[in-house]
Amino acid sequence: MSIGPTQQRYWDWRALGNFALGGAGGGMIVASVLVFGVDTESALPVGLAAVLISLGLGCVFLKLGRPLRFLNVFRNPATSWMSREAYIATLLVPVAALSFFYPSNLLLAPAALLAGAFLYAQARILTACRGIPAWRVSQIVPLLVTTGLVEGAGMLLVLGSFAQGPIPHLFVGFVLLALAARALAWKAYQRALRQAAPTTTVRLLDAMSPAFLLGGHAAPAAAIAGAAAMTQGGPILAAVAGGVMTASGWLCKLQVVNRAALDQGYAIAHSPARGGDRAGPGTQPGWPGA
Amino acid sequence: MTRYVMVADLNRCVGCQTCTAACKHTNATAPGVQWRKVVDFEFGQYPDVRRAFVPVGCMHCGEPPCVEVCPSTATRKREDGLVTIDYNLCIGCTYCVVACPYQARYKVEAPNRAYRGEERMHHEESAEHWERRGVAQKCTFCQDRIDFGKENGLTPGVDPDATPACANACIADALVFGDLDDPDSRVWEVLNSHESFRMHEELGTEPGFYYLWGKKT
Repeated sequence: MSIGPTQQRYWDWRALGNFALGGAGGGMIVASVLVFGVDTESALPVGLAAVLISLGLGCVFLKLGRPLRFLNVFRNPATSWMSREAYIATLLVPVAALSFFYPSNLLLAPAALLAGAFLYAQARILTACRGIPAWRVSQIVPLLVTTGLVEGAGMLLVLGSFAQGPIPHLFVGFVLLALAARALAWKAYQRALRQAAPTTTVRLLDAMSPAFLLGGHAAPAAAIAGAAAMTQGGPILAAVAGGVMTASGWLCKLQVVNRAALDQGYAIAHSPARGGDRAGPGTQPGWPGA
Repeated sequence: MTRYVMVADLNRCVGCQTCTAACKHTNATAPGVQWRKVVDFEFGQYPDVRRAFVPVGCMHCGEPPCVEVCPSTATRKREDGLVTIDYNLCIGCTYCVVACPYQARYKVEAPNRAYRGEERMHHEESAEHWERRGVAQKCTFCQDRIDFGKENGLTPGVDPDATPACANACIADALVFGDLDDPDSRVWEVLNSHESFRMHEELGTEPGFYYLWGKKT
């Protein structure tokens, strides 16, 4: 029996699916409305996002031990971010789906607001988990929100590879801004975990950081800037960059939600006197300074 | 007011796991599930090696993170301090499991079977506890025994029939159970005469499980 932090084993690929698909879907709605406006151009991506979010929620459904009781998830919006996420999703998915058939500002604007709230709720679900040090730091909120926006923008770029003409400057600006924001959020998250997480968590996240920053941020940023300047082949290059943006976000969530998600472990503040000795210091195995 | 708490004297606990066995026997928990267990700390460099046996389980916190996160209100806190689970409401999302800093909660989805590939034993079939399948479960401080005791004029922590099985079974009298708000209780007495700490207090959970480490001077 390990007394130090161990990897949590209850929120597996099914929980990851909700964060990955739901985050990308929510981000795609926000990105689409911000870039293309409340117009017919947003209809397809917003409609697809509704499918992604639904698939993500379907992953959560697979995780339930008593799935036929799923309606009980709505019982505690007063304190539970999972309840709140469920309420938001209940509004978001039909509004986004309807936007596909009837694109207008009456549907697309609320869809974008609800999508932003959905991203925020997903992040707050994690911060409420006092059992997982890597989740309970507040810096995970900007990280999850920005990576949702990056993943969503990435999917938009992939969708846009079917379009004609150059990539809109507003879109390029949004992508670069989102990438910069996610990089900053990642660094802030790493700094916050230095003394606030088990050493294994910090080591795993540090190990992925260089590839994540270079491959997930610098490379697609350069590719997007290059694609915007190209007269031919720009959308294809942008789509590749978009795929990298989305995949890097999902890999980040794989590490944060699964592999580096170690529990608190056990600790004692003092050790007892044994064999006539005196009481002594305590210990917290697996943490810095232990 | 009443606040039921458990006190573990680290100078008395010898790590025999009798409490673990008593809990498993009383509550018929599934293989791999230990509502009460004793973790073995050994740390330090020779000649300053230290050893401690630390009973753990649900801390029945004053500010339980599990109650805050539960979407179905299956997990609640009673007025007497016990944190409970309504198995009929729980959807088995395990949000409470990852929210708990004490690794106190479990979810079992498979039928009780200690030996894979073998037929189930008689006691595994007779103590199935279907109500706990696919939902969260944890130490209850033997709330059924406490409630029985209160209904029959017994005192939890004093009368064995009203006291958690682990405290009853402890061979070293290391586990003490009682009402923290009762100045005549043993928990009040030992907490006033000993130095104590609570695990992971810095997380703001206000655990209802105290560890004694030395007498007050």
